[in-house]
Amino acid sequence: MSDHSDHLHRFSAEMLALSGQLGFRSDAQTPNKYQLFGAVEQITGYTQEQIRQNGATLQTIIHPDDLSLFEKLTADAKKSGKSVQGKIRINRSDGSLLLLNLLLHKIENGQIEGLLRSTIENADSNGSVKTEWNAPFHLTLQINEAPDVETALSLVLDSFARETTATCGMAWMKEDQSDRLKLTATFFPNSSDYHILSQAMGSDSLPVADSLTREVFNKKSTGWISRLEKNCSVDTDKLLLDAGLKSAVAIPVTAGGDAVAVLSFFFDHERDEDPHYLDLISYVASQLGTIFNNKLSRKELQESEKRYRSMFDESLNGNFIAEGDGSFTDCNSAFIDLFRFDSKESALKSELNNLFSNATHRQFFWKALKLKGRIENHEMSAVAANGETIYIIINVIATIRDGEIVMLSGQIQDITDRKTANMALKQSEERLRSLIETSNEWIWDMDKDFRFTYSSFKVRSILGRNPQKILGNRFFDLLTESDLPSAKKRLLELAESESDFVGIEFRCHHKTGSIVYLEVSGTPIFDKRGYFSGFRCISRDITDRKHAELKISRLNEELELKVIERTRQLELTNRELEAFSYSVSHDLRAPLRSIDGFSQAFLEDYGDTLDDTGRAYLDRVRQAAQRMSVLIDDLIKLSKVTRVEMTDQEVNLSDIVSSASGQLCDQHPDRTIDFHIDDGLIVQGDASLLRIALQNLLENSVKFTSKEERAVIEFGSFNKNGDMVFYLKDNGAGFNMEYANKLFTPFQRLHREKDFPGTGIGLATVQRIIHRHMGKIWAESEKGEGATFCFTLPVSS
Amino acid sequence: MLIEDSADDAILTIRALKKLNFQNITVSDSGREAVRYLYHENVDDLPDLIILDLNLTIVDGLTILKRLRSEKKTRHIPVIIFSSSGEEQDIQKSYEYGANSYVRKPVDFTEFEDLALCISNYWLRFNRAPASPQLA
Repeated sequence: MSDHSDHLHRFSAEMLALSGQLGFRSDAQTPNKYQLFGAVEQITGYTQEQIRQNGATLQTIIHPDDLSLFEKLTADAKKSGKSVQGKIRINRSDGSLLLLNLLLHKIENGQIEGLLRSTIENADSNGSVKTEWNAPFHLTLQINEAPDVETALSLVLDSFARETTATCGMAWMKEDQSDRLKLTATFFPNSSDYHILSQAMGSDSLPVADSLTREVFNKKSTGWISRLEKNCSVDTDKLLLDAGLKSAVAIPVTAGGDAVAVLSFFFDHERDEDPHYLDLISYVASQLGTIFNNKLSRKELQESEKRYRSMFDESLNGNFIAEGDGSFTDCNSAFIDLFRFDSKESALKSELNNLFSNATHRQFFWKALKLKGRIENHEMSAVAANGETIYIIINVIATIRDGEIVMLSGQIQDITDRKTANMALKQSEERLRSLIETSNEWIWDMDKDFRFTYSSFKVRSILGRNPQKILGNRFFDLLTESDLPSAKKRLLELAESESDFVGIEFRCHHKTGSIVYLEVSGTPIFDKRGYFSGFRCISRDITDRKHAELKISRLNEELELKVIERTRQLELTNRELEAFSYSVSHDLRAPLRSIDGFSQAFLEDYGDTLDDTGRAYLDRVRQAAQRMSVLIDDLIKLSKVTRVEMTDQEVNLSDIVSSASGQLCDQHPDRTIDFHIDDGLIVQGDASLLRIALQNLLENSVKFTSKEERAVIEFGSFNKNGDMVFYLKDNGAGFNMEYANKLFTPFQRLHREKDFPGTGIGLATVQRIIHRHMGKIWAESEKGEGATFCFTLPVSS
Repeated sequence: MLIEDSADDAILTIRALKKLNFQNITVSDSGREAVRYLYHENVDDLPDLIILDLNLTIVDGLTILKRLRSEKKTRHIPVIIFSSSGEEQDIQKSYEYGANSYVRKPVDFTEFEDLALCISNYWLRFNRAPASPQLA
């Protein structure tokens, strides 16, 4: 409190004058010289003017016998720092001696302040001041020594009430954040008369301020009631009346323009308004007001300090305070993080100079700071505590005294991320640029008039043109005349719709005049306002591909022509073959018929002229003719199987085998043949061809089982690697697997004609039919163990 | 009546038919001649049966068959096609144009004799007066 209350020691000259006291204060430079103030004239009889003219000092008016006492008291006050008092005499201007009370104490700089006042009880006509009163000097000291405002109020209340012979006193204080008054201190006499009142006011319940106090607080002006009335508005008023109190005075204590407390005093007798009393109480209240003011301003200061502190501490930017040489005295946590310090301690051990990444930065920094006193938004690289390079923006304000920097405060913003992002962006731009320049594609921009605004170097190798000179030319200038109308139309449409395009082919002129095929893709570009401003295009030289394509399509055309020609030839051959087989069937058979017919006629008509040998010869001629006839028929069948147009339908193989086996049984009534036929074997194919195939196979089986007593023929199917395999198995003669590959060759026979007659065409026919159905056929056997014929056919899904 | 341009076949056929006591066998060795004969106004003695070869020169068997079936005069005469062809197409066409039967010329003449017997039995004995044959 002593820091802030220097001026409290200083007595107010005005107040002293009002209270009829003489104040004095030693001069700061000459300790023995005292300045006089207050009720100087009243006490000494000298006017201030006379004192100045006569060069009178305190020592000249103090009675010479008491001077040594005065010196002693002054020395005591200086030594102890406490207030001392005594009685000394002074010489008044009229020559009379006056015994006065002396109080003095030490103030700042070892100065002495004191006051002199009358020891005589000044009973005036009103009899208002009954006792000698030592206030406000005592009060001033008490206020100074009080640890807080409440204590000060309490002390003042007590002293003032006692010394002014008030019966009771109360001190009320405004509560924080509200307009309510809180009873802070009370003064009640020990008399039992006031027991109820003191109890009521001192109880735990919150006492309500009396009407006068409330009014004074609201109006912020002193109030005096000479006679307390019975019309009480609050309970406290009634309590006061009941306690026998007759009059009251209250005064507001103001600070910062607001009432902060009220002092109220009550008397057990009716008492008219006493200006002297009011002066005194005003004096006290003003002193208390000053304390409140200080308290308030201290609070504000603390709060503002707190605010700044939190701004300093909690800022996201790194804040620091450093001494003139750059060594840190304070910093916030953001600063610690920013420079990667382990702790605040290690940060404060460091200094600003350690942060610069090079000497140039450092020199610039200090030079600029000295010159301008501040550095604003300076962007630079810095070194963090762990050696990392970071990028910062620094703001520093220097306090400069006598041309030397004594203090620095600064704020640092970390822009490393932004900086590295910028660098990454730059790198990526470079990468893209090199990509564009080394790309095999020619990349270019054109404006909305289709004039080149950018062209990559590739245009030189693709079109033989200078990428700089081409700028400003229209894209259409490059195109061949034949492409121009359609290209113009297409590009204008695209510009109209502002749409992307992919892989449009253009024919362009190379500088040498040759034609270059370009495949162009593009995307519209827009200006800052979002208006269409052209296309960005990428184009590829597809000339080689194009030539290859043309060649392929020419080859394809030729191939197609060839196919047509071949097909025609094939059809011709087919027709020839058909005619051939027709003539074979008729023309070859006719002579056979004659051979056979006339042989028979010869036998019948002239048989008796021949001997047995002659007749046997003729029989052989007939047999040969008949065998040749069968051969011809089989050959025709085989050729038909190859030529006939196929239909595609569901064919039930089981049904075919059943009906064919029935026919075969009928043809061989003398034989015992067991057929085992699986049901429901259905395939996709040509019914009549498949019937021929199955018939042939069955006839084959029946034929080769002819030597068995009991022939067993099975027809079924099994699954092999996901393919349906059909089989026809017999228990006949079988064949040697060595010759299995010859089975399906026309006219190939594995048995003697005598044993098993046949032309050797049947299995060849079967194979052709199966092959025409994209199937496979094979046979498995062992001589004497029977044979199994297997085949695959497309199965209906 | 036999219409057959192959001399060998004609001889053998007649031989077979004679064995079965066929009388008055007229043989024509060309289609054109046969037609001229059949539609000659003086000819009233129409054959009971016509055996027709398909593979004739100049005017083929099917053309004759068509003619036979289109003319009122010959419409009712049974016609047996006697051909060396086993082609389905030929057989089908023959029936379509109104042939009463189709017999493939066998190489074995014994077989032919059996066939001739069947034909004569059917057409000349059991079915002497056939109903008007259907026109195709």
